[in-house]
Amino acid sequence: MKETLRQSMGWLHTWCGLLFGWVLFGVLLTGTLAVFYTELNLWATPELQSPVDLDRAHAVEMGRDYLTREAPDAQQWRIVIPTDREPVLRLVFTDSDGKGTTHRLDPQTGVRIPRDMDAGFFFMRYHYTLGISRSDSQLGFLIVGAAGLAMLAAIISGIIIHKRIFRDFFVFRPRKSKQRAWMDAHNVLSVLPLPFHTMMAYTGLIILYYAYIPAAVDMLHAGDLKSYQRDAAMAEYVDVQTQPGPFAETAELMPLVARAEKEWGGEPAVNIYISHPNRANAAVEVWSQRDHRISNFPHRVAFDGVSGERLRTMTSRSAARDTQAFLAGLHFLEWGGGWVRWLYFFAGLASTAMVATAVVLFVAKREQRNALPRPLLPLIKAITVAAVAGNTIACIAYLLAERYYPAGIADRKSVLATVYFTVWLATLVHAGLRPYRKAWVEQISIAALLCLVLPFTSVVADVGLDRTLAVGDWIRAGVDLTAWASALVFAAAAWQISQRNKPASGGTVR
Amino acid sequence: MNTSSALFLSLSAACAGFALLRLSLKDAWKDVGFPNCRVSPGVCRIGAALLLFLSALVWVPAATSLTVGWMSWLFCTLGIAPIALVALWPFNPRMAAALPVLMLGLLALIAWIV
Repeated sequence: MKETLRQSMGWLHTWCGLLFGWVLFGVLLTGTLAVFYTELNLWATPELQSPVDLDRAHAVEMGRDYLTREAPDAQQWRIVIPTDREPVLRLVFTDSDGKGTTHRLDPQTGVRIPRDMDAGFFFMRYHYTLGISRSDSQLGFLIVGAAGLAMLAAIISGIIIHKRIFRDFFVFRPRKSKQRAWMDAHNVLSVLPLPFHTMMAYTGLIILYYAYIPAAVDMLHAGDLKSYQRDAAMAEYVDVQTQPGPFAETAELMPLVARAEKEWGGEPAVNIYISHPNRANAAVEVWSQRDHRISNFPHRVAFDGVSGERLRTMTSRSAARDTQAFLAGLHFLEWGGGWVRWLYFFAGLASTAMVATAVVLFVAKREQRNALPRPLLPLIKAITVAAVAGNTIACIAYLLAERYYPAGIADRKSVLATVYFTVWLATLVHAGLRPYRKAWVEQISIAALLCLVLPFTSVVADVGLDRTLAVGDWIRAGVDLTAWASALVFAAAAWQISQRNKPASGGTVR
Repeated sequence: MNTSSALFLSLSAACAGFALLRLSLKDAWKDVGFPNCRVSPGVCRIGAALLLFLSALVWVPAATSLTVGWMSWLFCTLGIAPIALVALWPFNPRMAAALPVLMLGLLALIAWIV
């Protein structure tokens, strides 16, 4: 045990920060990218037109016809109404075994899109599972939970050890010693957006509280998570486990959508769930969009699927559930529109940079003091380069692979995930073989080069900037322009590091 | 005023508020080239508080709802606004104090006109 509280907290902040910092960087970077998950999905799907004039009634009718044709015996249909942000008609049907299948259609022509539209979802999944499927193993999920808890602990211990937190609010001294400059950068990036960091770490844990603190679920539901989730969602009356009744045509959907929108006060509906479609015991539940409210529990109105009689309106639940939904909604960011997403994106970048400066600072300090045994320091250096620069390269490589691999190849999701992890592993090997500073410069230069190339792949896919800017497709153009802006930042960073570390007398740089 | 111009104006006001807070610190007026300026730290801080309040007042009603506006202002706008000021101050304090405010103000004007 250390002598004082501040020393103890300093030890916790340092080691907790380093060990989980390597994981946290990837988690925060992919989380920041996942702010624009729908936009990335669209960017990676050149077959879809954008922007388009959306006719919601036409899209819903087309979706229903398609599902009637393709999945007449499904237990449940879900029609996701296209929006300006996601101009695709998403249809999900669940079979009697509970397995869901998703098909996507062009909302104007009804042509099926031959892609999973998974680019953004990949980053989102990595953000909370490290890319390890939860059905295969809970490992990634639990590591991210531990990292979230460690981030919260690091934030609190960081506040305790920071003696002059308000006086140092504006202190940044890039021309002082290297260690001082990194420390200042870390402090500034930590202190200025402190409310954001704390909120995101805390709400990240709140979202999946039942998995990280499973005692209550175990006690009340004998460990049956699905039973708990059904209870929590209060959706027992649309339980798809019941047997389908005799044939009876489900009512027209758009009038039900209009009634639901009137019921909750006008916000547009985005989801339509139809349980036991075209059966006597059908139920239709309409969910609202969440642009205007933070809570991740949308307004819901349920109707009898045949008579159209209103069964239930749900605009709030218990205070505890509403509080949890509000906190989870703060993290999920399905609200606020484009500008709020950009605000979250920049704040997320600040979080990512905070972790990056922390792990770099750890190395700079130990290197100066010779505080670590010989074999350990090179290992930490290699992991640090790969965790920060390598992860960045892997993310860009993933997007390039999205463009490179054709839509129809077998098990495309796994192939693209393999690209991500292979590239990351290659950067780790590279960082292990190259001198520390050269590894930084080389990897950041590669990141700059890949970002520079990315928009040209859009040209090849016939959705280049010349075209997207001309038709006002700001979603795809935004991704390409952001890639170029990132290329500039990476190139400047690589140049800065190479200049700063140039040996005065031409000696070898380690 | 549309959403874009409200956000840029809010960020500009927040930048100005943080610039005043920075100027309330020791020797800051000297750093920006006005060594004889007699504005007291207290006045600077009150001015900063008013500008931050103005920043919230501009953005919150322009967001999709009041809750959305307050949450995004509290968690993001406040954290992002001073980063340029802090990063540029060591290189050119006068530019650091003025440039982000002017640039964001200009963006607000462009967004308002367009």
